[in-house]
Amino acid sequence: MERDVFLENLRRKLASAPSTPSAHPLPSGTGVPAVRWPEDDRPPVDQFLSAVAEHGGGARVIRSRDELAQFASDVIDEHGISTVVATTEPVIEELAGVLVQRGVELREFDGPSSAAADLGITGAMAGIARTGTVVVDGSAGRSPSLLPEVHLVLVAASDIVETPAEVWRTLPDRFDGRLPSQVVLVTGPSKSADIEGVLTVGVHGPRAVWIGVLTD
Amino acid sequence: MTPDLLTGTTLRSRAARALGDSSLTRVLRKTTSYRDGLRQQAESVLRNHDELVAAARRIRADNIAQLPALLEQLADKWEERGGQVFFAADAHEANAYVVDVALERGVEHAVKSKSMLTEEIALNDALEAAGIDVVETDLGEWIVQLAGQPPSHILTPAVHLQRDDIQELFRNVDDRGADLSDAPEELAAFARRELRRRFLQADLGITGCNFAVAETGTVTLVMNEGNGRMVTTLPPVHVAVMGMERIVADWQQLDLLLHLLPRAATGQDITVYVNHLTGPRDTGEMDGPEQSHLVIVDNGRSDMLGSEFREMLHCIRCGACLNTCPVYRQIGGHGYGWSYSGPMGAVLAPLLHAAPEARELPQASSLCGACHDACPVGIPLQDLLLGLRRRETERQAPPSEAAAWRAWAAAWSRPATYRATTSAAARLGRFVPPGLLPDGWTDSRAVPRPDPGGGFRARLRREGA
Amino acid sequence: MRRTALFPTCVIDTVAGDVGMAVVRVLRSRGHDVDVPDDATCCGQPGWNAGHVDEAAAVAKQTLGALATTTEDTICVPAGSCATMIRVYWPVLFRLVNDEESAVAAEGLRDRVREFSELLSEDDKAMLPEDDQATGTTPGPTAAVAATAYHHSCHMLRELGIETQPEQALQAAGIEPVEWDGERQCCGFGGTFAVKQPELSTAMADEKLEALEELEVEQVVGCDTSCLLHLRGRAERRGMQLRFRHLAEVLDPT
Repeated sequence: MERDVFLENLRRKLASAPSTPSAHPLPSGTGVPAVRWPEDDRPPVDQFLSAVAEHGGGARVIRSRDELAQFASDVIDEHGISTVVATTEPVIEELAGVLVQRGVELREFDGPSSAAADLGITGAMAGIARTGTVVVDGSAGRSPSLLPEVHLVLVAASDIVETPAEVWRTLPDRFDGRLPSQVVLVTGPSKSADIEGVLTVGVHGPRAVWIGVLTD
Repeated sequence: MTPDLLTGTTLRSRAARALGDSSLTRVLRKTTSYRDGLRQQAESVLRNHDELVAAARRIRADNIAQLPALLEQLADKWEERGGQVFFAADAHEANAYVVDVALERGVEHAVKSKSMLTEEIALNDALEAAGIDVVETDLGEWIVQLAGQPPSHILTPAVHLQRDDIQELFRNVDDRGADLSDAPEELAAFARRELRRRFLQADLGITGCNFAVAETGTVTLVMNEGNGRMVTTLPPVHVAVMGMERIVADWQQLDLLLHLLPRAATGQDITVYVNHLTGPRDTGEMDGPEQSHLVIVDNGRSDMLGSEFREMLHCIRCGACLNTCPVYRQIGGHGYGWSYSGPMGAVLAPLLHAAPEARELPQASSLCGACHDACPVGIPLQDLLLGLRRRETERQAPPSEAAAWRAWAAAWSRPATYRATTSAAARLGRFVPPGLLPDGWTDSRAVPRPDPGGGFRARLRREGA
Repeated sequence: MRRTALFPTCVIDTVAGDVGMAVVRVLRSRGHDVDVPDDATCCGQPGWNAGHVDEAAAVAKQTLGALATTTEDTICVPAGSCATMIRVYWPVLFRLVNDEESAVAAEGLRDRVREFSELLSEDDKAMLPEDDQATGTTPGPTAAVAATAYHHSCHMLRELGIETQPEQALQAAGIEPVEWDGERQCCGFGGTFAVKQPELSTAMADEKLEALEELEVEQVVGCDTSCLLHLRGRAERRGMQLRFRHLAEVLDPT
């Protein structure tokens, strides 16, 4: 149907709506209230680390190149990683180097077929302390954070905000109104409860998510 | 073809059938209680949840009142970013458009993430009729697709099936499933392997839309499994099919609703993935679809816009009203007879479904109001159900029933006849409202004992107190 | 002495004279001068819930007239759903039949209408000195207390927000109701729903009764006689020994 015809019909219907008395009339007011979370005095990074754990992920603060190497080693050992795909974000170059040193085969990301590795590594534009979420800009690649069984993601401690509102309400401004074709918020590993309500992990997306929080 | 559970049946017959399966009732009661409890727990964590619900109700009313302008803005933005937009007046137009897109691209295999709207318009049937293979990829939705059944819950489509049912279905998928046990982890791992193959071979990905944001032309999908990311990452063509009411003006409003939806739906503070899509793959990007189509569907919704049932367009399809409903927990989704069930389905049925049987669904409620309490956007569902009952009696009450209610009104709008009927009723010990099946009470319940004193007023006069 | 009009409701008038008498005795024992307006019949709820709005309005208008002409400060309604009908739905009902005058009269009545347990609770607050208000007392029997469950009726809980008052009244009478699964879940009565959808309605009652059976409860107390009649009818048919009593019967001083 033509757009104009479709919309004109809506305008006509809107204008013709009866006013029906209601026992539960619409509330009055304006604006969008802020969501009030429970008090939590801990620094955002501490909140973030515990929220990641609550949502089934693993997170660690990384203070040095040595700690980054140790983190990478631990992930490789834990999951028996032999291939890795990395987006081209600068933040993960150092990590990619560490992995290559450990003998892992590094695949440069150039499309979905290259993403079928054991491990995918990406950066994140932000973290959310309350929920343990990382915000991944998909323009660097949608697949590396999705197809591998394990996702390792690096986020700067200074990019961790306290609540989801600080991401959602600011997203258009962060990109001057022009969003990337995909922005995805990731909170822990893929989950399903579709079989008898029993929680199963890793149904389509990664079975494990590891987050390195980079301090200066 | 998805089987039609509605035509030629009645609510009583479907309910009786569901209630005859005691293991189904047990599963439903247990699961819905569990999920309803998770919801309440998650909502209680926020310090101003009630305020948020009230604001959401107001904001959804604004969204709907401004629908033409918001849809126009959304369509402009989506096109600006290289996407295509189609406005579909009804199911036929929507399906024909998607089939055309598929045929033009020579599509053989389509993968879908869960979308109740595509159930409503029977998109799979249309694609299959055009020779296109369609696979549902949400685990629960895939299970019911294999079972040849419609979903029995808008959030958890296979809630009515147990692990051994699923084991049996999976064993028949192919040889790889032959030795599967009934352990949920093993079944889920099998689904992962099988469906990964389908994702990689698919040339069309179809999704619904949880919320579109007019401000930036963004389609938001929430999910836990990740299939909605697969479907929008791997196939070269993405079609998002959205009910025209699933729109918000800006990211402030989206923020509010994204705090309410997962809590109401699954008791989560946030879903594992929140996927914000703005048009197709951009210049220089390595993956994502080359084409992104947005199909905006009316299919009866504009009639709601011009009616006293407009508020039903506020619904964000969270499923909380199903989980909290004392009727749903007895009979499950198939008892209602179509894909939308529970209180929201009972309201939508007579408004969106053409079958005459759908007009009976507002009777599937004791009007207890638990759904209103649970609704994250504050829809007074019981008021809408009452309104639909009124509309139905105005349209065509059975003559005997209409006559009985007239007789009731004539008798009870006068004190003398009221007293005569109540004292007679007291002697008989019967309080049966008129116009109803005489066996409706007594088949399963003892008759109230007669009042030897002849009713309250007679006794008060006689005994004083 | 407070002057209080009692709207007994059609269910109590017809098949629950005992409940009506108990309500009168409890109110009198607490110093109310109780009068039952002769011409009040039914609130119209059966027709309203079934979608027969003209018929519901005709019946409701009769009762509105009878209640609006009472001169008492308070109108006591010993049924949560009827009190809801009057306070929440009457103005809507009358507006739907374009009877604005009755709608306004109904709105004027709202502030005087009290559900039974709500009225008792307000009495307690009014009679007690400030510092005792939290505990409240209601005179009543204390001996031979049976294991008791309280059934929250839907409209009373969700539309009127009357949640704690009945349990406080029971506690003041020395009865501590048990907590149980589904105490806030609909019993399945729902007016005409109970006869139009008997299988569903019965399944809903069964779920509640099975929960009570496990707890070895002896009596179920509620504030809506219609719920209690439905549950009792089903329990009797199942051969259960449970008693079902209106709050007023439990508090009855005689």
